[in-house]
Amino acid sequence: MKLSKFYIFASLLLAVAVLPLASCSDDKLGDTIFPEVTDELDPTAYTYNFDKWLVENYLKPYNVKFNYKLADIDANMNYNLIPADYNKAVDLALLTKYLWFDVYDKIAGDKLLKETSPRVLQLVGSSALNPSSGSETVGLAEGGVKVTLFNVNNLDVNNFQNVNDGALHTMHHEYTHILHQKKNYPTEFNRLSVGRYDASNWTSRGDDEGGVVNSLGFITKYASSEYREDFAETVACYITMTDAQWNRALELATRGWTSWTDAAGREGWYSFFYYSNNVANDSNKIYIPEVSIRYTANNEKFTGDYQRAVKPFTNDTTYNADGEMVVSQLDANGYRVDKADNRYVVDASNQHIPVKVYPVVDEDEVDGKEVILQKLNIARKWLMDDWGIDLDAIREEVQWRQRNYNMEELRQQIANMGN
Amino acid sequence: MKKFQVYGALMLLGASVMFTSCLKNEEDDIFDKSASERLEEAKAYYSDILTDKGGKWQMEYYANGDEHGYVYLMTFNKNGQVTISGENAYIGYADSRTHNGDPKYGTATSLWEVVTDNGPVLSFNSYNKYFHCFSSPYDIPPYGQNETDESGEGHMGDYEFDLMKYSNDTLYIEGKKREIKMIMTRVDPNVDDKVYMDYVTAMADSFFHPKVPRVFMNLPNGEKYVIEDGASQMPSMWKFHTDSVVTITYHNGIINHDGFALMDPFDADGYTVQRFKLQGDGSLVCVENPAITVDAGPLNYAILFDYEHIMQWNFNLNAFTGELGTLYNTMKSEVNKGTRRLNTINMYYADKKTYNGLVGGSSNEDYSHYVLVFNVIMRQGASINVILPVDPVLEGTNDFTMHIGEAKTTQGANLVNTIPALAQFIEALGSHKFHISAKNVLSPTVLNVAYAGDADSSMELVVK
Repeated sequence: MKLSKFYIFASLLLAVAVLPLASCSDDKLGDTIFPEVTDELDPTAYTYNFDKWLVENYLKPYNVKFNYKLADIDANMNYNLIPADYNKAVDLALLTKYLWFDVYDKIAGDKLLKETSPRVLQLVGSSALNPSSGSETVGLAEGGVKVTLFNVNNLDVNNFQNVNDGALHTMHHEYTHILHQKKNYPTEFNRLSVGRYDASNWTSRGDDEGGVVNSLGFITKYASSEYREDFAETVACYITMTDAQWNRALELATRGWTSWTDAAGREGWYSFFYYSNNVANDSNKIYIPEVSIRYTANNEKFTGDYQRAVKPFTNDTTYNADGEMVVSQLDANGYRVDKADNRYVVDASNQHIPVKVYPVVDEDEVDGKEVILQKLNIARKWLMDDWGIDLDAIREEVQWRQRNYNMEELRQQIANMGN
Repeated sequence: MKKFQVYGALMLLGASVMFTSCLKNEEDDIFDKSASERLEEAKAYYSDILTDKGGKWQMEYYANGDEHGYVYLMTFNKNGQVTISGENAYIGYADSRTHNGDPKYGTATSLWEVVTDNGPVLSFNSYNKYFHCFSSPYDIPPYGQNETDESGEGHMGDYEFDLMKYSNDTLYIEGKKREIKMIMTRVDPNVDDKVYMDYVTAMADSFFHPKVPRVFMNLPNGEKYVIEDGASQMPSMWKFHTDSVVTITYHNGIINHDGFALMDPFDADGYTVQRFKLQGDGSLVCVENPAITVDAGPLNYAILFDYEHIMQWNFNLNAFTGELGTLYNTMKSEVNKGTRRLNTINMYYADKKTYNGLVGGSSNEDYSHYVLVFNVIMRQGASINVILPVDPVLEGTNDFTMHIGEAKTTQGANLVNTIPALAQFIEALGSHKFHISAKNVLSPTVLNVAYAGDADSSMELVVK
């Protein structure tokens, strides 16, 4: 009896349980409530060829969305930003592929960027000028997912230096951030410049060219803001700077620098000085910008603050510190030197009294060149050991490509999409 | 029994689950499409509207609340391109940082798209140098010495617009960041962009003349509002005969192809006004209430003898007609003898200082503040002003009598006394009642002044 009661009640329960299912039997779970999302491009769209190229070259191989249109939700609403010019965006997409993605594919294999590249590349036409602080942002990497490139409308794609300064340097910089956000670089790097970073005033540190921060062991002013930026800048600069630019930075890093205000009240940073009329005492010290002692090969044109005082030399004749006429020559850097490699300028007295130029003594207690090279070595080793990336090979490939790319040929890739 | 209660409760629960599980079907009956599907439909709906009938639109664009609006003409192509034409100073600055500030025509093609956000959004999402100049963070025109002193603000204009409503070939949009409401109106696709924009620029020069700085909005209840500085398209307004310091309000406006509009509706004594259509006589009629008009006010006391004492008038020496023309020609032939030449005839308000300067000394007499001045060149480098005080008596809104007094300087009086035709001409001006009319009642910079009752005897006064 107990058993039959149990069956009755169990049957009732089962019926109760089944009823709701039966009542909904005409419901189908198959269709999504969202519309079918298709990746099909509109062949009548003006941008069709480019959109198709982006799908074939970014989306399919790397799962990267190259966002060349700007919606305000794609950017910081606190900034006043404008979209990228369409033609500039096309060129930048081609160059980014050629000078970044293709390089890493070739050197480090095609898996690396598939796994580590940002998922979104966002272009913005203008600079990101912060109305509150007045600072300017040239690029952003948000959590390794999205890299935003600003100021695209001012790019000159036929000038690789302009492209480097405006975009490619930023890409390599931000990509380095992505890599070290995934795997930490050695903390040894952070110890090399402890106490010398300045997150608040890095924009106004030293001379415009960056020689002062070079001498402190930073490759750029921005590198001197904090160690993570230092790391990204070191890698990005090494990849994109030409040999001449890199060696120049290292040379500036070896100098001593001092701040000095001239008679006109202009404050500047200097690494050379001379004594007025060759009278060597502190009150006669005149600091001069390097440009004032950089002569042209034929001595016909002089530039810089001392232009009014400079008269062309005759042939290669100049004077030494003792007023003796000597035969001068140009050194490897284009400076006029005597046989003992002393550099010369002509005094502001506008007379043919040559003065000897002295270097400012390096008193910052940092071997800037050595520190930069140490940082580079740490980055080089980390990239190879942790990522299998040969930094020097990347650099060599980028250097060759940025010297030799042909914009018209690259654009042909887009045109071919219509075929 | 207790067991049955338990089982009963279980069955009730099962039944309620059954009903609950069917609620989704009821929702489907109400919302048969998902939110994203409806957004996609809205996107297609507005895209079709924008490209329909040739796809040409006038946008009344406001970058921010501190400057007037700018007219743009936009042609939307189904292929995603949009051609944007405009004619303003910032287009000039977009081409050259050293532009002189005059309106300049420019047209450029870029991309457009209706995207979905919280709702359909019209986005100009690739750079158009003649439109995005108002969204750029850079100072336009350049401010300061170089590009390193940029504030990052620029004009702060939107380039994305929430599509709010479409009605009667008008799109109601709202800037996404600044939330300024604007409108787009459909334009005949066959119009030439430059011709259209040149017309808008000419419109801007044709009414709200800067030499007629104050005009009136006439309300159906008989009240008036003063509109000041409409030519700047940033007018201020206050109720006539109230303390403007207390009641003044400031507005952004735009001169468009059809007339004038305010950025935001304005409550004028209970009447909502925003858009005004230009009429053939130069006046404006309120679109929201056609009984509301805008004109320069009564031509006698608001214009010729303006109560603000701002306007000065030159008599057109080649436009006297009828009896007045005969008297003028006689007078002119008598005056123009030897080296003597009638140079100008002016009328204006002279305050005491100006008046004393005219008569060559200080005067304490009770004189009229209006003066009629005949300038006669006696010989090269020497001229005489015949200065005649005018005591106008005004009738209605368009009539007046001048009541001209004696010439105030000895030289002037002598000239009047020795040239009878001059005295007769002055007598005619002073003794007749005149009627004023103007072809453009909003910018009456040229007045026709005729004998009341004899329209053929007339003269023309031109604002100085």
